[in-house]
Amino acid sequence: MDAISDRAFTETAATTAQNIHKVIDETPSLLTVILDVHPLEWKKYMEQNENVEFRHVTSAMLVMLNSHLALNSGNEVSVYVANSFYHGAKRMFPVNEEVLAEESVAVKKEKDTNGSGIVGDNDADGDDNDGDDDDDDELIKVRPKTKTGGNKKKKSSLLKSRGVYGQFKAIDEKILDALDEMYKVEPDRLRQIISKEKNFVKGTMTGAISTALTAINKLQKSDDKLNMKARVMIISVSGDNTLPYVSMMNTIFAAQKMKVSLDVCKLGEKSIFLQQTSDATNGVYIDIKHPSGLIQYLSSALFIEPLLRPIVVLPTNTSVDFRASCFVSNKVVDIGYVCSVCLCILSMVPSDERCPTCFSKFEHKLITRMKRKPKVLPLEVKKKKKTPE
Amino acid sequence: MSTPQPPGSSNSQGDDESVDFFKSTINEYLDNLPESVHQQLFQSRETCLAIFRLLPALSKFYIMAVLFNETSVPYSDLNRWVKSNKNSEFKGHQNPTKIYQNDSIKRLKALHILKEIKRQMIHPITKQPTVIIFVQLNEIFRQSFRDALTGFLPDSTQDQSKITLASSKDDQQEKTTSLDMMFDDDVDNSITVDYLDRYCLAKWENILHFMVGTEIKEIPSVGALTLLRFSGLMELPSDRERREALDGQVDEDIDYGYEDDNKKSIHTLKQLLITKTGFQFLLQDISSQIWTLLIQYLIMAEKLKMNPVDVLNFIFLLGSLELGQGYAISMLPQTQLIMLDDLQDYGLIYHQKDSSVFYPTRLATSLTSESSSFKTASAAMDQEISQPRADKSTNSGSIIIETNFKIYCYTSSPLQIAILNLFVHLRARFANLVTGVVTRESVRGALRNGITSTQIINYLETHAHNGMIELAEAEYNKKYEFESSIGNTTALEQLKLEILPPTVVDQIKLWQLEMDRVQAFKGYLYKDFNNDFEFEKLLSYGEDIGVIVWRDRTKRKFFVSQEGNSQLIDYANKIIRNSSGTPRANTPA
Repeated sequence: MDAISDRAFTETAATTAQNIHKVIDETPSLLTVILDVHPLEWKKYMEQNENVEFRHVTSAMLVMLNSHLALNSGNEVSVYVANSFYHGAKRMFPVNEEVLAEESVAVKKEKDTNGSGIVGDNDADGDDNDGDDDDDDELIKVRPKTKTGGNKKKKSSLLKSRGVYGQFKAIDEKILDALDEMYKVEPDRLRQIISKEKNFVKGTMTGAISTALTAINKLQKSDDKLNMKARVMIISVSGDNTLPYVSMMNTIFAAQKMKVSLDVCKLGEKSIFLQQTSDATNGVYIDIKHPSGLIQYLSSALFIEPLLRPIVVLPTNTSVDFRASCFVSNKVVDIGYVCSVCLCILSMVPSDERCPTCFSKFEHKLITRMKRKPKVLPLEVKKKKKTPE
Repeated sequence: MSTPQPPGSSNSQGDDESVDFFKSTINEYLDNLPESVHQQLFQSRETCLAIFRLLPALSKFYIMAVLFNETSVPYSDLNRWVKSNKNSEFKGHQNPTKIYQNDSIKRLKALHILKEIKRQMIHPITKQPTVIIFVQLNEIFRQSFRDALTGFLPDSTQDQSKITLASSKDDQQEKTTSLDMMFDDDVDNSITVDYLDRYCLAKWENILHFMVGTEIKEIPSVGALTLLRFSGLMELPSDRERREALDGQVDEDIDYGYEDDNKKSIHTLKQLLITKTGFQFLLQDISSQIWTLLIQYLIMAEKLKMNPVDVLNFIFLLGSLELGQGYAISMLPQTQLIMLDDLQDYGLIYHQKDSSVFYPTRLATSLTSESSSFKTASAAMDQEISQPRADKSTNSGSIIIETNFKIYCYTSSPLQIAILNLFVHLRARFANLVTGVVTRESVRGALRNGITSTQIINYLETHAHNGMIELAEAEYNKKYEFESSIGNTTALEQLKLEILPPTVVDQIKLWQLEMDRVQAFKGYLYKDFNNDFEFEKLLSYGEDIGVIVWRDRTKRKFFVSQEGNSQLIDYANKIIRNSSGTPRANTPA
């Protein structure tokens, strides 16, 4: 009897498989790049790697954006920068009046949420002037690029006539202009920071990721881009100590839920958090050992479309460090204390006996008992020995 | 082969394939070009970009991975980058990933983008010389494509403009080195994107309307009509008579179209009638329709001794131009100037007589987009155009079909109604809705016109209302979850998205099968054999070479297809020579 319910005309499995692949071939996707421009971290990085310049990274990034646009005419890109805490995270592209207004609100909010972020301990020991000089150096290095960028802009309006890569050019110019703009404002603000604080300032990577995720969410919910796939690529130089742990984890979970992969291109020292980020979101984490070949990394290992991910082997590290960091000292902990109310992780019990995150009071008795050094109690040992017998 | 078959002529291979020949279009054409033409094509950066966009996603990934890598990559690495099927999401299927990967690599090789190089290597452990296959990106392609992607770099701005100049010199198009020649500042402001959209849509629909035979004010130009005739989508009454007279060669009715008296007057061409392929053409989506015509144009251009490289480059260039932007024509070489007029006839370009500026329309700029994104583009186009049409018309989903064969279509476009009328018995028409029924008679009428059941089903599927698709997806998910929960892999294999009610799909297919109850073959009947030995020998030989259509052992008769006959006769003669004085039966059927 089953035969009756069978389809009279069954198509072969191959055709359905082809359909799946047709979808892969034709679905447009969004690439969001988050560029870490934290000036102090860049300074540190450039001290270690002398032949690397900021513009090498931006140019590699622009090539990557162009390649992404080349993949499919429906593809889109967006660029965010994660600056130091005082400058905030910002969307560089696409620029939109409407968004600008929204963004200022978003940035404000971010500042509110990141309120505790400033706490970061000021243990860095460089003197202020030094930092200042270096940033000026960086500026000098950046300027020539932006200047040529400006020249090119004039020329390109002529080149536009060829019309060939109008799309590429328009986008590249906008991004370069935005970066240029940023570097105009930068030195003054940077001086202000440095006169106030020391060399260590929190970054806004999480802010950038969360704004990017909101934008992606908005895009995916909109009518005409309903099936748009998205992924985020993070170019980071900052160390883990600039990342606020809680908001980082929250963004990871948000991305996981949205099924957006976060790829990480890490310049400089390893980042445990970013490793966890990419691991949790089916992304790629790569430590860039040869910064001069950045473009090759960006065009191969970090260039895997969301829909290709089930097919292609992800070139990522399998062993991921899942340790968390202490909320107070920002150190990575192996064994520590956990607040019973908010699950905040601590490497030591704070002196005021309050949780630094939720401010709930710890019971004094318990703390003293916990802090008690182990002692050998002969009587109890005897009792224990007796019971099993 | 350098000259691919015109699509229309391959009709005899079966109707299912005729659906595909519209789709494969440009890819197939490109694949079949000889390597030297490919090399020339790759010199143009916009062509590289366009070809790149047409590739499967995995091929794109491969190109990107080796693009900035100077050394060649071992072939095995290409496999290693792809997961073996065990971990993949698509359980149950044979091995779609592998097939997909093979296809991706095959495409790259067909286009001569990837080259295989065999190299002798000494195995590090065994010290045995082994041959390892490496793959390398085509150098010209690599250079052009890299330039395309990195062309913006401030450092290379100088070099880049030099390259542009150099390459344009190659094309003999650059007499004055001023690049701003092409960018015209005194652009007519009246030509807006809006205007262009309306213009191109009007032009294109005009052609389609002409094909369906609706009353139209202005018939398409001679150029467009000639192409329609050349591509076999339409034919003159005299063509039809000639074809019917030839009768036997029903399917080879294409080639004479252009060669004879190609300068038909507009009055003669006005009488063009739609053909079988023309009906099939109407059921395609708009981007494959354009590509079909353009491929025909390419073939026609080759016959007119136009350089295919120039023609292709121009088509791809159009795909990368900006909508709403005027471009000076002074830069274009001679071939492309000719094309300008032709393409204007199809609505791809807007160009006023004697004006030095042309404007690409949306049809042109979305040429190299994928069909899905084009769909949204054209949907946007429809919305932009303030015509009293339904907000979601021709190109987006609007058809609802029920299990009782009733069909509802939210449209006011006379074109879509005309197309529906090909296979639907229309009942009533409202301001934005048409209702009708799919009946045996209506479908048979369409089948008699040469439309196949698969085409009807495809048309209904691509134009299905969003509600239908959502329903089908929900159904699919439910079934998928159920089958995977009980672990029924064979059922999972057969699971597919059923947008249309299965009863309707099956019934339409059955109606087609009904038409095919009698099949005609041309060939020869062999009978009256002298002895069993001869019969068996000839029959077994015929079966070996696969030319036997029908056989009856008891009556010692068999039927041989037309193509295989001569071969069999040769064989029979050989037998006769060996043992003289044997059979004599070779009567044409």
